[in-house]
Amino acid sequence: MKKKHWIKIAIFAALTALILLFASSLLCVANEKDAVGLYGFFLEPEDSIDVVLIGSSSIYTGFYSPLAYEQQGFTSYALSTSTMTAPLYRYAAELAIEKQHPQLLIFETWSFTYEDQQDETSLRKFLDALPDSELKQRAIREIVPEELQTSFRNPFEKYHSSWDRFGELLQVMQDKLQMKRQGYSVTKNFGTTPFRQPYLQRTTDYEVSESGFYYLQVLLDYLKEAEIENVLFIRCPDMVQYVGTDSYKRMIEMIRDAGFDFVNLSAAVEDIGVDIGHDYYNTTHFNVFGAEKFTTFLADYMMKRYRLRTDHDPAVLEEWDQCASRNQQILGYLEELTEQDANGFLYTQRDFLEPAF
Amino acid sequence: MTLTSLTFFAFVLAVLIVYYLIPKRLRWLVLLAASLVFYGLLALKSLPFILFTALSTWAGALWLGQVTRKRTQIWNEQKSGWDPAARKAYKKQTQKMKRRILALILVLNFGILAVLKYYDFVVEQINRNAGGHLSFLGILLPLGISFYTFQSMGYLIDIYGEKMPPESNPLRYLLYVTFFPQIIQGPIADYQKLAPQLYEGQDLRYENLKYGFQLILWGLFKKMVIADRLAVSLQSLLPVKDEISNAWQLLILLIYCAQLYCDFSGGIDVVRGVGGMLGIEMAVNFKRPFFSKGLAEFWQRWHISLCAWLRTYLLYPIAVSKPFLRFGNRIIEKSRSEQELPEDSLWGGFTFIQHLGRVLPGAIATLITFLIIGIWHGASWQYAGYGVWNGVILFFSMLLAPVFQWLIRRLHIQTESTGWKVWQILRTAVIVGLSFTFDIADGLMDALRMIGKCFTPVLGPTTHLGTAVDTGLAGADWGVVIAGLLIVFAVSLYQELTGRKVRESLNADSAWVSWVLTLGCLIAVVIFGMYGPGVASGEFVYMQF
Repeated sequence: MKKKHWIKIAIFAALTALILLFASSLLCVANEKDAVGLYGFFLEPEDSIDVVLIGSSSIYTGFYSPLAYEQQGFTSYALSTSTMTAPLYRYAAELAIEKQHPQLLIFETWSFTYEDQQDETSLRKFLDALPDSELKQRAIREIVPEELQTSFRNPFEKYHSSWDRFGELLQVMQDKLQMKRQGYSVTKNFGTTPFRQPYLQRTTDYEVSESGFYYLQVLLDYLKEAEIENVLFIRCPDMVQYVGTDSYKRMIEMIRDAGFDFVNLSAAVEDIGVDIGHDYYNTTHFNVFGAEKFTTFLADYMMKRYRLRTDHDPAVLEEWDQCASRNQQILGYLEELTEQDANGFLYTQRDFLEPAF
Repeated sequence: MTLTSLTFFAFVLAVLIVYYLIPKRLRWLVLLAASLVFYGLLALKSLPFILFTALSTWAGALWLGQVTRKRTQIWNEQKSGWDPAARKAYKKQTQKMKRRILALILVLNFGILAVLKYYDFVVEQINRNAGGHLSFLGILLPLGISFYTFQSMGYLIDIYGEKMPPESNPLRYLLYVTFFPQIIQGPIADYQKLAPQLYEGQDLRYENLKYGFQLILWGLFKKMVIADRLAVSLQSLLPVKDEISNAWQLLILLIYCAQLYCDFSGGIDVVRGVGGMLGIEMAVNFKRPFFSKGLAEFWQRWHISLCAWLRTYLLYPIAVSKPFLRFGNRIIEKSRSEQELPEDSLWGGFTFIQHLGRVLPGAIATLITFLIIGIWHGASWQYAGYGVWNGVILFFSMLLAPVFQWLIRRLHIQTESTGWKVWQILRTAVIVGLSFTFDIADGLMDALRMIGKCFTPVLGPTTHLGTAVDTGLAGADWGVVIAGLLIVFAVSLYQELTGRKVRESLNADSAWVSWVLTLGCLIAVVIFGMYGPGVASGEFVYMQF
């Protein structure tokens, strides 16, 4: 074979690799909202976030970080994906500590009640949204069922068939590029649906699953080993009335025995000032009105309980000031839509990217 | 490690690197080692079976060769000493010896195939119909047993027929039997065409790499983009085939035709592509079968290597065997006294009896051959039905050929017109399509019922679910399937009309376009191919045969 033939083969291989790399970054998205939400976390400058909130959707629908900044001066980010399961907490915590060394870590505890902690979709929403790293590979090795590990390591194997979502995925890519140009995430992974759910009475046992206990213990061990001081476990409020069970009490005991705090904010709806028939978009998630009230309450609680420091680099403060300056505009817009019960779509930071919004 | 897996292509890449790095004279050893490793990885437990076949055939061929050599030697020594009678007697004696050797090896190897493939079926029939209580073997068929047995026996028969000398090196012969790309589903190779290419050690040539790679991609496109998608649809449609309307049933048959063709021919393209990259040209197994204008032509374009094997080693020997020739001649003798007829008469210038005498031996041999093709596909009555369907149609088409010609003449049909050719193609496709019913039905009676259903009104009483049938695929997937099939059709049409391969035309006309299309095909396979978790890709329909 002649030299020119080898060159042709090399060019072909390089072109193929480039196209596949592009296809991979375009298609490997488990959930559009979560992919963009987690991408924003990695845009934040290192050691610029004071509080990282970890948990499932009740975290990113309930807590609006720029509002907390405006009110209390501390920075925060919801490192949260929908139906985030408990095994992911330990790795989310490690990621938060590695990148941000936050003053406070908050964990939502409802995930410990899930029976199927290794649900593929839930694991993918978080893990597939992470850039490749040692932590990601370790998480795959340790918490993903063995038969799925190959496709987690090589997600293209699964997501190549996402071509039928091409339009949406292209939008995700555009959003990420726009966020990168902007340099930060405006709403810090906040998402809400503009709807007011009429009150529905529901009662549920707060039953922590066996696997939930296992992963709670794994998390507590890690937090103790990492010598993290300020950790708060919470249960976000919702419309459901929870009946405390033995397993619920055992969970609280485990948390407190490890030296951390637990607050059931579900029991504090009156203190928060929640208007039940007005402040939720469904039975388990706040709408923008509820989120504003909950953010105000929790931020105040955090500040008083943990005496968070709010000193940051001027560049960081400038970024957060810019985010906060849009609070009124964004929250006002969402309130207006919610008053109209506009629709069932989830509004996320993608909808508030400049100059589109 | 299936033919569509990354592991397989990593394996092929490793083989290619080692093959082209070591000296030419040793390259066949790389292929042998790769073949044994490949077979071992895929089916370690089956290894003794293939080794037995290879060893017994090699030894049998050597024995046959010895007998032949000795006979020739003695003939040469006794050139002037023997009278014709003594010479004939000696020839008869050696032929008898050779026949015994051949029979021994054939019985051994076909015996293994028959026992493993058909024993359980026979036991089931005995237990069911005669109230027997025989136990089943329950042994999984060794991987590729049909293919390597046919290939080995073809070699042995050729040695018996003195078409070539036997291979003395058992390892070289083992390579011919186990050559890894073709072991799963063929094509069944002719020793004289394949073996020299395997043994001589090929040069690294850019064209071989490029053509081979392009052929692999084309095969993967057919298999992973089209066939595997249609397989998903069939998984949804077949279980409800009894509840759906006739129109849907026809659609199932169409889907199966497309799936089977793309699956099998796609797999063969991958195999031939791998061979091509190694500089080895393997037998063509498909020549656009759905452009056939008759069933006989279809079988010269579909699974060509099997059909050629059966034609060479079964059909012709039966058709020209003494009993068959005697049978035909006896019929012709009977009608000798009858008067001669003009060329354009109903039976083509012969009386009906004369015509029978001429074609009946061949037609009966065809019927037998197709019955065997049917049974080769599987141990069940429905596969026998598949053989009978094809055999009977060919039997009558041979028998009635002069009548059809007579009708064409009488009706002044322009046989060279496009309309007539299209009609012939469609007619053949319908016959072939209906024959595939035997493949997908749940037994012989179900197949016959399905065929019957295809001939009853579409909106008949069997319409239960109408359009609410779940096809198992989303609209976008159907879009991919239809686009894929249109591409396959366009490529086939181009080849059919021009007689040129698209790859060769593109490479000759514009190398850049060729590379862009290759890249496009690669991307199409990677993006639109069916693989990954939860997808049963890599299984080939013909692996089971």
